[in-house]
Amino acid sequence: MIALREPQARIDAIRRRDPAALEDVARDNITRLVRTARASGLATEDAYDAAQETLLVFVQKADQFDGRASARTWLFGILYKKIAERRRAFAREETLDDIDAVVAARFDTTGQWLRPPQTADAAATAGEVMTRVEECLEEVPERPRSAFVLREVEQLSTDEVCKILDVSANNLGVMLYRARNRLRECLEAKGIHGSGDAAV
Amino acid sequence: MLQCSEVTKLVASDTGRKPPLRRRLGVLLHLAVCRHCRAYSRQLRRIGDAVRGLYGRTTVDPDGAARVVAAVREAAERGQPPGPTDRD
Repeated sequence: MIALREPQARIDAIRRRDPAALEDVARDNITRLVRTARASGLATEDAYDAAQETLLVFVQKADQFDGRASARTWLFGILYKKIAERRRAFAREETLDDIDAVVAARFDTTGQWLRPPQTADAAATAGEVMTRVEECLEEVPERPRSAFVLREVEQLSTDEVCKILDVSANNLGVMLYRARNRLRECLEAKGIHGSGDAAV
Repeated sequence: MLQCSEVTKLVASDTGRKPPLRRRLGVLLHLAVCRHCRAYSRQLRRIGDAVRGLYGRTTVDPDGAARVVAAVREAAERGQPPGPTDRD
């Protein structure tokens, strides 16, 4: 596993709020922060704002940085809260997640497929597929979406994602399960069945 | 033998942490004989790939990034404890 700890010299520099060290943290993480904010559903301008707010909180609290988690893990933890605030403020009310019932209805009482996944070829161009994927991501509630983005887009380790979202590995599994099934159901409903080589 | 509902649950809630050998083999065995679960698992993999493709290449605009970095630097400098000359 990749070490999540920072070297002691860097921890010390961050803790005494050394401007050069904090600037390095910002430079090292800005792309990931903006990308994650975008993938989590914020518009470009909002994504920059959220990234900047995140880094400013980090600067403010730098003296409390203990190096037990990396600066990146800490930053993502802050960013995740900023994303949640914004999505609660600007996005529609998120309905209760009924994806568990949707999935359950696909199986009979013995656990066999009742309604198996559709696999007929979808006549969609790669561009159309991407548009549908983007639309369907919007249907994934905020927490499962964040878990999915951190794991699949940022490809962070299970341990790091659990620290960022402050959940157990089991909880993370449930969130990923909901995100993936929500996306799969939504794409299937839009005729994207992932059978072609180029398509999803 | 694992049921389809169990296999899809295991596949969809995979966190990337290696499950116990017994369970891993159970899933592999099931996928080998069940085309529906194979299709399901392939779809999930492709969805991951598609979302990664959608955002993975997101680059930040250098000006926007520079503005954020400058704001951080400024805040850090402002937040510095007062130097010896500022003290009584």
